[in-house]
Amino acid sequence: MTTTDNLNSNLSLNVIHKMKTSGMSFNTTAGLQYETYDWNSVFVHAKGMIPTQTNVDNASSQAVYHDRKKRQDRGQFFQEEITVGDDIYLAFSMRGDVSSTMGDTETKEWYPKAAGSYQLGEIAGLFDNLKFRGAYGQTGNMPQAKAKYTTMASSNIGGVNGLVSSSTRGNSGIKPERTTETELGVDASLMEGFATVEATMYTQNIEDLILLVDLPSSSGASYAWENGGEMETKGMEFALGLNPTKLVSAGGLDWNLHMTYYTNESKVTSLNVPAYNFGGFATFLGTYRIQEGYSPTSIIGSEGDLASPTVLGDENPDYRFSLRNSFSVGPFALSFLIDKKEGGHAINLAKLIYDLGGTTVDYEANGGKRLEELGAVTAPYVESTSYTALRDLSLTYTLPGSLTEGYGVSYLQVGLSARNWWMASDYPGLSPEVSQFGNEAVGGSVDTSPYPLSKSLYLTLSMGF
Amino acid sequence: MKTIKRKTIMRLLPIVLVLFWTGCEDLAFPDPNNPTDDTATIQSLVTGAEAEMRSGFGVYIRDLLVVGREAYYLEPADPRYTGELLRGPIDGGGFLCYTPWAANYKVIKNCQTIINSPDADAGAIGFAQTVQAYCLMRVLNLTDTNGARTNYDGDIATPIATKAEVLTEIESLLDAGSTSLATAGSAFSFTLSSGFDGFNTPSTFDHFNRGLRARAAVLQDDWSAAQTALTAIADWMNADANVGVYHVFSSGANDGDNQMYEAPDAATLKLMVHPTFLTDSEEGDTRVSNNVLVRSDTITYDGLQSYLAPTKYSDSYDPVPMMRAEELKLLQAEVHIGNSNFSGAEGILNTLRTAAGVADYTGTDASNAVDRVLHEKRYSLFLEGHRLADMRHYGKTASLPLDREGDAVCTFPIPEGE
Repeated sequence: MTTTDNLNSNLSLNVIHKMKTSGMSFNTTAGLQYETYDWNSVFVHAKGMIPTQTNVDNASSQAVYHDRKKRQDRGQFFQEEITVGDDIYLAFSMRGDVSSTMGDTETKEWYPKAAGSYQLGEIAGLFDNLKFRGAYGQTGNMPQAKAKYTTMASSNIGGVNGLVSSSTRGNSGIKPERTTETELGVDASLMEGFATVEATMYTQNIEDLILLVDLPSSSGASYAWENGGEMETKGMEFALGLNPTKLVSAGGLDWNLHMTYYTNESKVTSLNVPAYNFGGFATFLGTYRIQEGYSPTSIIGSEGDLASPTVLGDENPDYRFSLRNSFSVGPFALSFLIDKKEGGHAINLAKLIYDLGGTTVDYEANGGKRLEELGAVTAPYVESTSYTALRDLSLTYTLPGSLTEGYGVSYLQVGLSARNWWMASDYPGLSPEVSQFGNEAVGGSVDTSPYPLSKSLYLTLSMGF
Repeated sequence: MKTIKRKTIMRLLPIVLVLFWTGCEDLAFPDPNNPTDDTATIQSLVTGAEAEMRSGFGVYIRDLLVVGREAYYLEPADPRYTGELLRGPIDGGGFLCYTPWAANYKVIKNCQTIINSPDADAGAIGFAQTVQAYCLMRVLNLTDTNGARTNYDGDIATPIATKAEVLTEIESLLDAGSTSLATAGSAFSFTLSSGFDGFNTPSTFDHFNRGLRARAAVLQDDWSAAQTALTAIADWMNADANVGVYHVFSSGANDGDNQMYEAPDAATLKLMVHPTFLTDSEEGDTRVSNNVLVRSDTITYDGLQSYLAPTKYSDSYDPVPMMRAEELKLLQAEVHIGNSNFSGAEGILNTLRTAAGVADYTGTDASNAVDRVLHEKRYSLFLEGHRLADMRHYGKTASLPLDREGDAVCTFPIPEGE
């Protein structure tokens, strides 16, 4: 049973000024924002209830959990947007934020932003529209509310309340992460709707990275919050939409094709705390490592010498690609999505569990050797999670109106759709889409045989009246 | 003129109100969920230290029992208990190494806070120094020759203290603690749990301190220091075997439980006694029949087999001894052997053997005395985690049974990041 009081308030005050001259318009906005978040939750866990009763007093044992979250943010901003003719758009803004989650609650953090785009319009019968865009901006990512507090935890014995220092040391000077992103892109539409193209390249640099770093536990605490480093991410996104039946007519067929491709690569560019491992279970079973020059999703493990582990893989894939095809002919429509992930690794401990049980597919040939080297050699358990999957497939048929209208139904469609029915992968575990510890940014790719995504098949019936 | 002014004021009013309201509340409020350092009192630090001594104890005792070949921990969900612990190398980044280390240093952190607190009286300081020494002894039981940290500030530039340096630190903490306790009056200014019943005044808590001092001295073959400490607590040594200091458990909020208890007749068991505990025993030894159930089935995992379930504890909240009179008798026997007083040692061992229903030893001499005292320690202090340190002390780890090819008796490394 949970009782939660949650009070959020949000107050903003904006001043807007618009000005138009010949061919140019100016839009000026300035504002103040004030937000509070107050959450107070009491959870009572009662076991051994008297049948039919709902009052927790009737339980044979009760446990109570109390959680409060409190946060206050203040912000102010100024923004100027300029439009020149129909082709040029420029925007600048500046934002100052302060939050109760920051160590220093007196000083605002300022974040500038600028964006611009230039539209060339129709060119030479080839482009219906062509637009170049660019943006630069900084944003802040506030620390967690608990990061600034060094606290003690209850540890009781004999009914007397005792206190010990908590495992995580707070940082009274914690600052928000500052992300600087520069992005360049082009959007185009070609040949009278035959194709649309969007391409974007970006670099992102995060300063004052908020890290939960390892402390030597001989200090009494095992972790500490630090603004510990910098990370750089370079990436590219590409989307292409094609409609071949716009170009070549094929009876009543309408064919749409939409592809996306993206790739990114991250690197820790500086780290002002000692490099450290996190996630996983142990170094010899594969773990993640935060170290200067390494990808933050690097998986390391032992290659014979436990004291100097090496990089064995990276959770982050080389690229991801998806392709959606949609066909429709008269009352029939067919659509499917192919999803491809290339590269990316997981720590496959399910294989170890099967090895120990002697039931791995290749146990006869290699299992014994793997177990013999267990503790010293991790590589056999770090595996590529590349896959190609048919994510969904759906087929629909719309009944002719003449057949249904007599019954007062203007529209009747039956359909069949299937999800996750086919996948090709060399990954030997149950599924290459591994996430043992939930959907974590880093550290999720540890496989101890979680359930794979379920296959589903739907029969749909939709009606319009 | 006047109307314009009013209009301006009306326009600016909301801005002023917002500025006023947002300026009112303070963004620097305390943690709404947890107490901070300045909330802690000597009582809460003492209780916290006592309670935290049991945190990580489950892993600690399994480490000692498995490496010391007293028991197996057959955990299908974690192969490290049967792989790493029995075969090595033990991973400095894994929880088997890290959890007991971190838990002990967390207790030490509380002790340090007490010792450095202006509010601490002599009793509190004596308690803290004794408990700190006890935790360092537990760390050293695992890391042995790899040493431990005796700087508690988290500075990893300071070299790790060697085993000898840690033992020196332990002794000086115990001696300083004993001195503090001697000036602490007749009662503590704080209360201890029922685990310290009979040892909860400065003068009686000092018995625990001296007992630990004897244990530390014996491990270093410092027979005269051990004898001095044991002589000071002769009454305790001669009391009933189970009189002593215990970890106590309860089902209360934020309290702990006895991690060694499992129903001995359950279909699957994790903590199983090493088969040699039965095969090496003498017929009719009640220390075997009282502590072990011989099951009709054999449990097998990872090439290990056992049919012995521990019955030493009968409940998830049974207390676990830190030190009890029976250990002091055995320490006295070791001191006698160290001083070549074999008949004195034999006399003590025979009182324990009589109590256990086995025949007296005769003819104890230099050739068999150490093996005999180790045998009695193994059976009298079963599941209390002494065997590994004892076998190391007498250089007899080579005679611990290895069950599989490639198995070894390992020493715990200093955890990663230290």
